[in-house]
Amino acid sequence: MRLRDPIWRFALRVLAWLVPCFAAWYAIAPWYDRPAAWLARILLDLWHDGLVDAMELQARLVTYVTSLQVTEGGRTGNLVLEVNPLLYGYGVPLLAALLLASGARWTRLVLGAAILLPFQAWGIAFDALAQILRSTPALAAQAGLQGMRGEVAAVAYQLGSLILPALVPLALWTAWQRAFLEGVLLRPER
Amino acid sequence: MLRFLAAFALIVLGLFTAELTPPVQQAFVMPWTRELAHVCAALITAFDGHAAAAGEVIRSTSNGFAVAIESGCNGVEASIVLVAAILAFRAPWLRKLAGVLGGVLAVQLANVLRVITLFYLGQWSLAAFEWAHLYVWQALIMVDAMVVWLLWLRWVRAPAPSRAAA
Repeated sequence: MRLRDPIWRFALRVLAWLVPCFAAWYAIAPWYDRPAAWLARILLDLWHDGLVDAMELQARLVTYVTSLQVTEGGRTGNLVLEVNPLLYGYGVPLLAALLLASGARWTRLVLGAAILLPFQAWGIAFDALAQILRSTPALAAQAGLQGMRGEVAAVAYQLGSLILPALVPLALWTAWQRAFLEGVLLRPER
Repeated sequence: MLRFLAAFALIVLGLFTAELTPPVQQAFVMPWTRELAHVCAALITAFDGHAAAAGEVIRSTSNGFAVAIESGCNGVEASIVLVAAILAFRAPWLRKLAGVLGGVLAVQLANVLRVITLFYLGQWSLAAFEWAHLYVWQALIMVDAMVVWLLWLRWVRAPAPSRAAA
């Protein structure tokens, strides 16, 4: 590794920025996660009309009280789903570290955090649907998750948890910082 | 740029969907994950006599703490993203092949480091393990893939050395 190499220097700057960015993200997450949880609720209701009766965000967990009826020990109640929104939001500190390490304007950081919200909502919504899929076939049928719709929800959940949270920030950074990419990182070595 | 983005998205979606199918899981992902566990266990046991591996599980024999390498922890998704970014970019096929082989190796090396650090971090603090496992290493693996892609990109765009300069 040559520290004079701009790509390695940039990588080290990103690593250094990740520490304060993760700390700041964790501190603001209870507020930042709120709109993502709302958007996820809209997505869930779009998936199956009237699926969510109530929503709560407490102790860093989103709780959705669904309209799905579940019977246990002779008692019937509503199915409650809990999702950790942080699992789908770590793209924010990643994008912030990339932007700060490449000298981007802070307005891009704010805009980027807003652009990442629907992707976090995607992760939260399909996490909730995946929990229903894993419960019982009867509950999955109540939520409209039979057949192809169940397969689509399963793939969307995997995509939203394994690919999108880290890929979208990289794509945004590449699109926004092209001048830095071309002029600094990819400049031919002399 | 548009051509690259379209090709990249198509390849990512195609490879990722294929990865989730039972035949690919059986033939590739599960054996790959088991081999990764063996490599990590071999590296750990070479320096630490208090570690043992069984299947995808690496266990500390001194305190019972164990890590299981599951889908999402095997570096396959980051490799898919890197392979898609290399294949989608216009470059000679031999250089693409070199990028894919070297890139996947680099991602997997980072992933081995991830598994080993998580194994020891978990024995020290479960909270630190959760943080590193769920958030920090997820980001670091993708940063690793991006750095490899940038190095490859600079290599394929570099002008060939002229005879006069040789």
